[in-house]
Amino acid sequence: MRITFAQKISMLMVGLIVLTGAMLTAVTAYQFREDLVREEVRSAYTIYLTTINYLSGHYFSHKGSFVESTLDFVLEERFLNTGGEAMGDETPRLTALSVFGADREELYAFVSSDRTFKEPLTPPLMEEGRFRIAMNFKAGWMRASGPISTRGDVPGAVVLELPTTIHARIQALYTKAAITLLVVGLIGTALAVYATRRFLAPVQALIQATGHIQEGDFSIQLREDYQDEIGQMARAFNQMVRSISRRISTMGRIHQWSLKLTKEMDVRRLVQLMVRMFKEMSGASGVGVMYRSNKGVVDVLAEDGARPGADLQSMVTQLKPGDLDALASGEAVPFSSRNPGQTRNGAGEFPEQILLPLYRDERGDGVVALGRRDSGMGYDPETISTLANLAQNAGLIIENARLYSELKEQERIQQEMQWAREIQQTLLPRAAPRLTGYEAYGYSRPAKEVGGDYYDYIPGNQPALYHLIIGDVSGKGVPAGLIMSVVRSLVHSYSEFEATPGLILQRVNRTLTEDLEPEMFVTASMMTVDFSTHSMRMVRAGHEPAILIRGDGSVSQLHPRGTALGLADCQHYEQNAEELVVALQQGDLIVLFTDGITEAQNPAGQEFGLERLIDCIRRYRHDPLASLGDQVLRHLGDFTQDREQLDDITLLALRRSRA
Amino acid sequence: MSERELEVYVAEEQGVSVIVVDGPVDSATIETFKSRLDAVCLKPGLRVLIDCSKLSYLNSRAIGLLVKYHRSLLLTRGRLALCGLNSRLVRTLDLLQLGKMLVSYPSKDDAMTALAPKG
Repeated sequence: MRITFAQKISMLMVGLIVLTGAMLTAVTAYQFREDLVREEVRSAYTIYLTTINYLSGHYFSHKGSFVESTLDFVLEERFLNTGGEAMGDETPRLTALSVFGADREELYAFVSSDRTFKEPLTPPLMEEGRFRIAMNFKAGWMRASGPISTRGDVPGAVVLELPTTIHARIQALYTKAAITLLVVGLIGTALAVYATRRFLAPVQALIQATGHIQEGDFSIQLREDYQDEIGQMARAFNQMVRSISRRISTMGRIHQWSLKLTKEMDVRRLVQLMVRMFKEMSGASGVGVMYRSNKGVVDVLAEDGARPGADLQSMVTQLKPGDLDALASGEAVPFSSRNPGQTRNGAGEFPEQILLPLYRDERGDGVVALGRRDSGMGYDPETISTLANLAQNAGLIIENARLYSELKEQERIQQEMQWAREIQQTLLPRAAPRLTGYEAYGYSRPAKEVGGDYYDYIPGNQPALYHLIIGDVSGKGVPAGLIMSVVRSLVHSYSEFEATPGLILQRVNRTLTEDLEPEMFVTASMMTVDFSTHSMRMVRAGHEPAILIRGDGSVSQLHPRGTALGLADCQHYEQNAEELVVALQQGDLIVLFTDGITEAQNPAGQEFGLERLIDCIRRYRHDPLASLGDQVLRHLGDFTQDREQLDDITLLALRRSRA
Repeated sequence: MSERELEVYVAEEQGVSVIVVDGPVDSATIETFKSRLDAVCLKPGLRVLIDCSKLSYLNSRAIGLLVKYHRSLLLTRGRLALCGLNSRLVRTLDLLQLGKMLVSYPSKDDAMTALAPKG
């Protein structure tokens, strides 16, 4: 069975009251008993004195003897004041008396007619010579004894027997004490229960209130009108409940806002949403989210409120290095109008405006500026703490949104690069042309999604002519790719009008020189095969020399003079341009390449080099050109050990077939 | 891509702005190369010597920049010269037929003798 706290207190109080009552009753009863006994003894002593006084007189008056008849008469007639009747109380008279001589012989004995006790009186020890008393309360007698004369002039002793009702009186006393104790216990129990209920009522109320709070009910409030510690406890409890309720409500609102914010991935809309959130949560008349660069330039990202921009912006521009350090460590920076020249107010004041740290990056600080509150009250520490936590979470959300935006941007760029690559791939030949008596091969692989290398097969403006061109735009990536597409267009266009590679590239150069950035240029080699004469014309605009492997295996390089396209002025280009004419025999092989092949490096930093390329081509010169190309690429891959490709690689080959 | 960093030092010697390029000029270091040399080579009328004795690599864009600096200085009666080119760089300039445009000297002393103002 569960015993409540109030019941325990009641039981304790009852126990204390009963115990106290019992002790008091017992002590009182004992004391009263002692008083009764003392009174009986005193009464017996008085009777003894009276008796020995008479006996002494009788002894001397009867010449040293005790006359039985005289004593009987006196005692039976009660002439001695041995009873209380003369004193007006109920003290009983003698029931027996014995006089003993010095030798302890009984000289006289008196027994009252109403004596009920059986035992004879015995002589006392004569040598003691003093009054003694023996009591048997239960039997109802007292026996006093002592010398007949304290001076010793009458030898012998007397023993008196007196009845006593002290036993009954003590029993009555105990009964009254028990009844008293019972009454005290009942009264005490009633008082204890009443007092417990009354004084513990606030504690009971507190326990019940705690139960309500446990179930989520924060509306409960205790009475605060007690003037003692109970009242203090009630006031503290009520304040605590209100604070908890307020915090839970605030956290609920923060949670709702967090859900809204995390769903927004656009940074601009996110910042605007945050301004609304801070305005609602703080009660500020104006809120601004700003970015302060390390150079002190303040950019307002979003704001809400009556002209908050100018006022709040000045808060951000006034920030001192110490304030920036505080923001960096996550602290709020307070502002108060009482100290317009300072950014920190004195102890005990609640600031009217505050700055909260939002995020920090390598370029500066994002902050939230909160203006004066509509209620007119300053920002108390609890509110500042809540808002600072809110700002910290908001900063993380902004960071996530920015990362997400950057990720999406990267994905978009990658997608567009992929599209650009696919488009560029369409600009390159899909397959080598079928040329009567000749075999052609081309391959290009950009280092990035979009490359600056180019090769092409272009039918001449005469049936017997066919152009092959390889090019390398300075730089990499999309800019080089765009220029490559321009070069391709120009080459195709001018091939309609010009028959020789020299004139074609001359016109291409004139156009490019006007349009290209000063530091950009294009290297190229172009050769035109004349099927009717089996000859080849070649120009080299700053490009790597071509490799010529004759049918007998001899190797040479084709190295006509020529400046890169767009690099120098047109006069310089045209003055230095040289067109080489080569007769092609059956089995002769010409290979053009970009420096991405020869300058490819292995992990040790060694370059593939021209010698390895020539060696590889010579080894496989009899294979179909596609197979030869594959071999070159395989050897290149083995050499670089699949190290990251740093430059575009392109290979272009032409062979006069054997009969 | 080279992981080695590029250092560019500029000093005035005998009326010539001597630029020492230490390291490779590739896609990783091209912006550093451009910003440092733009600060000197685009000023009008200067005599500029680029000491390439510690230059390990020059990509195509860097070559384009050298041509641009040459033209810019030429227009303002300045001069640009190179010295200390390794064989690879000499071959590259030769392939591009820039040997006559971009004047180079075997040593710095030879270059200073040619560039320093007389008198």
